[in-house]
Amino acid sequence: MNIRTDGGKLKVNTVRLKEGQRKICWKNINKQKALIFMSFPFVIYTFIFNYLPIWGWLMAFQQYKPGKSIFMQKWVGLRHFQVLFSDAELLKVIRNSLAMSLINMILGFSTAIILALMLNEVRNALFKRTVQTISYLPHFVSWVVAANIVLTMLEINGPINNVLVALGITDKPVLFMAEGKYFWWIVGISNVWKNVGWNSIIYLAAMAGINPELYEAAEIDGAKTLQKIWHITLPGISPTIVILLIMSIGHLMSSGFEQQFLLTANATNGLVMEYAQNIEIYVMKRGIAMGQFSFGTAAGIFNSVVSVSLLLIANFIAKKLGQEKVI
Amino acid sequence: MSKKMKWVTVVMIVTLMVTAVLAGCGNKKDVDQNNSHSSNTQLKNGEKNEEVNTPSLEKVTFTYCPMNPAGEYSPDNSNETTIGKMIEDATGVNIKFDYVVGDRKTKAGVMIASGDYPDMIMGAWGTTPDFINAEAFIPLEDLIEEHGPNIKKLYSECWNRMKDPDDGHIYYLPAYPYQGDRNNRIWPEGGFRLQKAAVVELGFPKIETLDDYFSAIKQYKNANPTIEGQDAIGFLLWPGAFNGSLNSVSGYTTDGICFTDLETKEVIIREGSDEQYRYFKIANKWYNEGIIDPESFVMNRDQYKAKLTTGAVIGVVGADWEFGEVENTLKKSGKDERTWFPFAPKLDESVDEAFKNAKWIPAGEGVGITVKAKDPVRIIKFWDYLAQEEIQKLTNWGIEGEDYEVDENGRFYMTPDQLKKLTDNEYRAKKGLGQWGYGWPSGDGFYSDGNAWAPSTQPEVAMASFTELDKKILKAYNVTTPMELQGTELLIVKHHPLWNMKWEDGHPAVLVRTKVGDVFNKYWAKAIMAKPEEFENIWKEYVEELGKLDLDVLRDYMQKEVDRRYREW
Repeated sequence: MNIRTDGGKLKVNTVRLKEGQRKICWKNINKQKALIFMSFPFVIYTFIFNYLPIWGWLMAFQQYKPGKSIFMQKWVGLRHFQVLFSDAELLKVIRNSLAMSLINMILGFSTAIILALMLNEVRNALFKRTVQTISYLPHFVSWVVAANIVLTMLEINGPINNVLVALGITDKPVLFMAEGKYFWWIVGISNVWKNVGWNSIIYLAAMAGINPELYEAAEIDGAKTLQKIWHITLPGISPTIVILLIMSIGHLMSSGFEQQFLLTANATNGLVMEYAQNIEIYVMKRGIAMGQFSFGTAAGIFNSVVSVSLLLIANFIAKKLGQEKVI
Repeated sequence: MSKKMKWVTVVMIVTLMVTAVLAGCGNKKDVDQNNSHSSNTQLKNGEKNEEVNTPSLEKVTFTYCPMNPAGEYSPDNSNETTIGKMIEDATGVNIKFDYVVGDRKTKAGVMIASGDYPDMIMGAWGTTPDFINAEAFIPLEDLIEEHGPNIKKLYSECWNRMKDPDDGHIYYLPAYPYQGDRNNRIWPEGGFRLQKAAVVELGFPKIETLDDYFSAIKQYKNANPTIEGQDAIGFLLWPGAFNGSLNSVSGYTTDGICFTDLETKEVIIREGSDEQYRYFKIANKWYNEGIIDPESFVMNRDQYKAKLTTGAVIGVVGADWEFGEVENTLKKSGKDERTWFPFAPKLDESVDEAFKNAKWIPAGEGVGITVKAKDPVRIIKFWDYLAQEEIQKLTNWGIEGEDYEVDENGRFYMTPDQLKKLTDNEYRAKKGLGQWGYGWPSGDGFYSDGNAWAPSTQPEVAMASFTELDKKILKAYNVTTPMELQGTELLIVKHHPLWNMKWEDGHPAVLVRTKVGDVFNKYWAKAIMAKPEEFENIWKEYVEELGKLDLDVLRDYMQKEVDRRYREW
């Protein structure tokens, strides 16, 4: 039960509004009625699928068994929350979730932006399109296949170990999946491989929206390529970056399920589990013991509360820094 | 664009989007209508049935979810296969299969949440308790008493075991109730397996303890550092099979995470036990000698199978059905010597006898009739038809003269051509062989005429498929079947198998069990992979962590179940 605050009503600030001031009057609504009309289905969709199901949070206070109506279930009060918070594992699990999310976020953002910047400079249209296609193909590969590829690459006789030994970086092949401390980075790097192309698309789109006259003016002033990037392109896409950053922070608690599940051989690899077990894996394992639906809901409530708080904090900070804000 | 045009465009776009959003909502009504339409037809047949009171031959199609994905040749309807058509001609019943795509638990969850059940469901892979809890199955015992005498006969021995521990009803028919008290196995189910080439080269060594087993691997590995062009792998350990085999090598029946003393009926928790200590210590010793492949602890099933298929793995452990595919591939490329021969080593000298073979009377999962079935009486009668010995011979052996022959003593056997067809998956699927076993009332063991229920356990057939190496090895060990090395006595152990016991949803014991599993997972690989001097410390830590959990709750819960089984079964 996650509350998603992205998607939904797109409000366009008209020129007359001041910071924090909102005039809801017929005149303004009339001006924007086309846009309001168009966004109406999405509002209904968000309401039905994201807000209405919240009443199902009741399940977290029951021992929910499917097949019977929600009002005929056994009530257990705060038992699931008790189990959740009294578990010594919980802190480690949250640590793992946050660590993997942060690494993914930092690596993801930097690589996507750098790739976009580089592609933006490419003049040859064919080359540009080829690189783009190749780079975002892995995004469409399911993690089942992708995890197999990653595991095979990291095998003792696999390509990565062969290269490492050949270059003399290590004398013996490394059993990567046996060391917990490598796990976060394996997740981060494989995520980059899978998503960098896809993530760079939105930055390329934003870059296309930058006024070319700015580049020409900079050219006249004698700016070099790197200076143009630093002074024009980056500031030009900074609203996009900030908004995506804020939304990412809202999702900081969810670091993914399939990746962690598959890379640990269906969550059986005990050697790395201390670092690999994030909230999703934890809920799956505990949930089976505590009645999946109820325990999963309780953990989900906890997840949502934390995520919304993080989002509001990030939004507030952004506002204070004079940047774009989402809310 | 003029203002009017703009508005028209906006209205069109909005309509398009609204339609898209609502499209998803439309389907359920259609599905419901379809369901009610077909069930009306069935109801008509059912009513006719009651009026005439003779087995109706009106054609009817029942829907069935076997909780398994479709195989390469799996039919959509049973009447598409030869045997299925014969069954339809005799009973009028066709079965429409609803295979699982993706995750079974998800499909079960969706069915339960929507209440949209087919006529029959096989609650495979742990989904049976889910369906029972959701009250999806109807009680069967009265229907069977009235309409299913053959079913009653087939399940007579396990009748009490099929009853739900909470309310005493029978909600499902489990698979393969064993008929008879003799052991029918030719090849043992589990075992520590050694490559046949190694067995021969080492001169048919005595393999009585695990140390014997690993020494043999070491000897062969030293003599053959590369096999089939790859580095030789001593022992490729599959965690599930390895850890599960602890019960067998310690001389207990396979009961999952506990040992059950056969005399005192006392439950001992396996994790952290003395036997496990000795087991891991042995594994640790051989790991440090380089015999156990380090990748065993991190690989997934695909990597495991890939390694096995290279033929460079000298030793493995596991159930025979885990290796069937791999061994077929190796045999097809002429590498029979790289397949494995099963042994039954003991943990160490202090164990009397390992791999005790107990009669497996199934309980815990099976096929049930759902509350949405419109004609349960017809289904029971159909099951009853299938449960007859003659029809069982049809579905397991095939058609006499085509798939098997009968000699002058009434014994079934197969000609070389028919033997070849045994492993032809496409032929078997199109014929309909092997499709009426798991998920249907179907037996195992022996028919009343002494023939084995299925070809694989008929001595005439199994021994005819022994390879040259098999025969050589058997002769050298002075046995007629590989099972004899493990012990052919079939023990009748009342509580066996404990691994299919019902775990009550939300009971504290279930949480303890999960936590025990987590602690075990954390330490077992670490212990085996540690340097010998660190082993003791890691083991101590492991036992300490286990000690923090409420093991008594878990033990009492399992003990209660064992006691109940001895009382009620």
